[in-house]
Amino acid sequence: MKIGYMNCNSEAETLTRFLPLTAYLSHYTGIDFEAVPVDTHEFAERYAQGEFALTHSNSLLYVQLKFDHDLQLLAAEKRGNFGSRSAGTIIARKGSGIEKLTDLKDKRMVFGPMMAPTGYLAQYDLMLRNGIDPERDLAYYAIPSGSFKHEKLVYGLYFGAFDVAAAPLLDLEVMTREGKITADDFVILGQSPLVPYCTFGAAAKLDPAVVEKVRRALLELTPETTVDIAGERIKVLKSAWIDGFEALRDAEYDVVRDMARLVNMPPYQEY
Amino acid sequence: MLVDRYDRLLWGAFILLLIAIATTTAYSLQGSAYVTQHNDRNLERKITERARFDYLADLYAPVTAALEAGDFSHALLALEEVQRSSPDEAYGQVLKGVILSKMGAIDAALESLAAGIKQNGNYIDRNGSLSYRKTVIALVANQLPLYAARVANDAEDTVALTTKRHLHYLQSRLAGGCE
Repeated sequence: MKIGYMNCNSEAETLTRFLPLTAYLSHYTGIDFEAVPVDTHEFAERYAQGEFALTHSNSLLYVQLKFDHDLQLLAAEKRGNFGSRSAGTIIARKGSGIEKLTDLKDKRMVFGPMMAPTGYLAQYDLMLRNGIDPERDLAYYAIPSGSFKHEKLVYGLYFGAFDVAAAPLLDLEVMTREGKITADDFVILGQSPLVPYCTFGAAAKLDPAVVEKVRRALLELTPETTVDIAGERIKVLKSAWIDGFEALRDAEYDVVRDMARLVNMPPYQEY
Repeated sequence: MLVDRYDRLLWGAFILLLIAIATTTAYSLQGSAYVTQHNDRNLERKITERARFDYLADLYAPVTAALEAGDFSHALLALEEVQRSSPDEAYGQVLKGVILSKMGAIDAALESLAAGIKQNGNYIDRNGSLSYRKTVIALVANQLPLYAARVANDAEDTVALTTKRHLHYLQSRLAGGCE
C-alpha cells in the first residue's frame, strides 16, 4: 500500500525524512507500506488516479481532497511552538518604515508557494480582510522558484529584493532557533489565525480496520520510537522533523476552508 | 591542702561547679554556632534565589518587553533566541505558555505551562518575584469548563483530554498540591 508524501523541497529530502516513518508504520501495522514523494501541484491529480491510498500533505490539500474525494482525517502533525497548528505572517525589515498592514500599498512583496497554507493562503486572506487586494494594491508580487522557497523569501527580504514577505511563523521560529535570523531583524506587520499544520489522510474506501491501525500507530509515536534501516537505528519523529501527532477534528479545518473561499482557491475556486 | 573531709568536699564542689560552667558554655557556643550557620544558609538561599531571578529577568528581558507591549509574535521569536542557550529552562517554558495563550494556542500554551511549573513551582508561588500565578489562575478558571465540556461531549477527543489533564495539574499546583 502506498503513502503519498507531499514534497517540501525535493524528492530526495522527502524520502530521507519519511522512509523511517513508513518503515515504522509497516512494522506497527503489519502492512507493507511504500513511500511515494509527490509534487504539491500534482498531489490532487495523482491521488484521484488512485496512485496512493494514504496521504501526508498540508492542510489545504487535505481540505481539497476531503471536498473532492471524502478523504478521511487520520492525524495532524505537531511541529514547533503551536503544536498541530501554525500561522502566516507578513514581515518587513526593521527600520524600513513599513510598520503596519496599511503600509503595504505599492510595495514589492514575495509570497511562499501558492499551495502553502501559511506561506500564501493565510497572508492573502489577511490582506483581503484588511482591505488590501494583492492583485491591485501591490507594486508587484513574486513567488520564489525551486526548493527552500520559505527561506528564500526571508533572505529576499533581508537583501532588499522585496519590501515585504509572506513568511510562515514556523519557518521564522526555525530560522531564529538555528541562528539564521534574529527577532530584531524584522517587524511583523500582521499575523493570520492559527491553522492546522500537515495532516495524514486515508482514502474513503480504505478498510476501517487498516485506517484505525494507522491512526493508532501515528498517535502512539514518541520521540524515542526508533526503526532499523540499512543497519542504522533511526529516531522516526526526529528524522521526519515532527514533534508528534494528534487527533484533530475535521471542523478544526474550517478556518482553512474560510480562507480558501475568500482567496478563491481550490476546492472553492470560481473562475 | 586536702587536710580534712570538709576541705575535700569544698574542692569537690568547686570542681563540679567548673565542669557545669564549662558544659553550659560549650552548649551555648554550639547553639549560637547552629543559629549562625542556619541563618547563613537561609541568607545564602535567598541571595542565590534573588541572583537567579535577577539573572532570568535580565536574560528574558527582550521577551517580556515584547510580551508587555502586546507584540506576541516578536516575543515568541525573542524567546527562541534565548532558548538557543537555555532550551529547557522552566521560566522559558512558562513564558512560552503565557505568550501562546495570548496568541490563542491554548492547547500548546497549557502543555508548556504545565511543563514549566512541573520543573519549578516558584513561577506560580504567591510571593515569587517572577510569578505568573494570576495568569495561570485565569487560564484554569476560563479553560477548564470548556475542556471538561469537550471531553463530556466526545470521549475520543484526545486533544481535549490531554489539555484537561494539564489544567487539572495546574489546578492542583495552585491549590498547593504536591507532585
